[in-house]
Amino acid sequence: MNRRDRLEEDDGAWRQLLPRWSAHEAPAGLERALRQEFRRRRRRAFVARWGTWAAVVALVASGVLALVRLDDARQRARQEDDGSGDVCVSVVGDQVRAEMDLAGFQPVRRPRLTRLHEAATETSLEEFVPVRRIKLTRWDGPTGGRR
Amino acid sequence: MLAEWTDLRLLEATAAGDEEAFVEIYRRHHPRVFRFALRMTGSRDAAQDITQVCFTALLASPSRYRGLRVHLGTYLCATARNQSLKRLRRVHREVQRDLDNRSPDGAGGPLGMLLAEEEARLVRQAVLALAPLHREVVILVEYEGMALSEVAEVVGAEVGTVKVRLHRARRKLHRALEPYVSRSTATAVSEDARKS
Repeated sequence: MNRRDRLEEDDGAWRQLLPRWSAHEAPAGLERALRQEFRRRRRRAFVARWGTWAAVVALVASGVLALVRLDDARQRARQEDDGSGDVCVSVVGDQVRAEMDLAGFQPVRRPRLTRLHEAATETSLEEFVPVRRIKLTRWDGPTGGRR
Repeated sequence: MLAEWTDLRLLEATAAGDEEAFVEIYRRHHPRVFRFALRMTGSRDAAQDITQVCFTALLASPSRYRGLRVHLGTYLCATARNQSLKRLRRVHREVQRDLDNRSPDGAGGPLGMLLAEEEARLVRQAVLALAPLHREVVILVEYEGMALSEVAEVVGAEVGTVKVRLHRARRKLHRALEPYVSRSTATAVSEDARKS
């Protein structure tokens, strides 16, 4: 206590009475209640921390899932657009057999076939109406374009 | 081991989730906080609530204390003081009914006990009749033995202001208790005579 802190002492005897009012001790239940409060707060903090992480993980996972699904859909659409699988060419001896899936076409009349070779015909798809996109690869005959 | 730790270290351990560190802080500082709140409000239940609020606030934001350069006990007393004043403002009747009625110990026989009880009641009434700003300095200086500079930190005022408040509070207490002093002294003398 420095000089500034010092206060002129009151010589009144009344001050002797002050200690008569003694205070109770804090109840033991208070410590118990504070322990419970501490645990409750720790649990809440734990839940909040891991809950936030779980939410972030769920958000990322759903984003990835959405991207994967979008990619699948794009690939399916691309495969549907890609008609290369619709034409099957097989060579048996000197015969070439070409099969084409015309499921994607609606014939407006019977296809016109032109015989090119002993075992090859040409099908004109004129006047066929494509109902979906189809990609046809060029077929250069059984010799592969060589004479 | 925890008893040797500083308050700051205990507070850091508390923030890291050490329950025993928190309980150690409570054990160190709760008696003063509780006594102060009890004498400020005159109510045991209110003192219990205020003590709980003080330590819960410390638990909720220990960083609020870390920024201040005061002793943790002083900080907790300041929190208890703010809570007490808030409570006193809220409650219209400042002195509540559930007054602390601790019976003095049985020394001096039934008559002595009765007289001591009566004196305790008179002192309690006199202290609780003071204005809150006067009451708090009396409690901190007379009952808790705090230095004026420490009291100034608790109440957020200049040391000079604390001195003035203390002086006025003492004068009021003097007026209120002076008539009973002679009787009290007589009682003490008669008790001494009986013991000898």
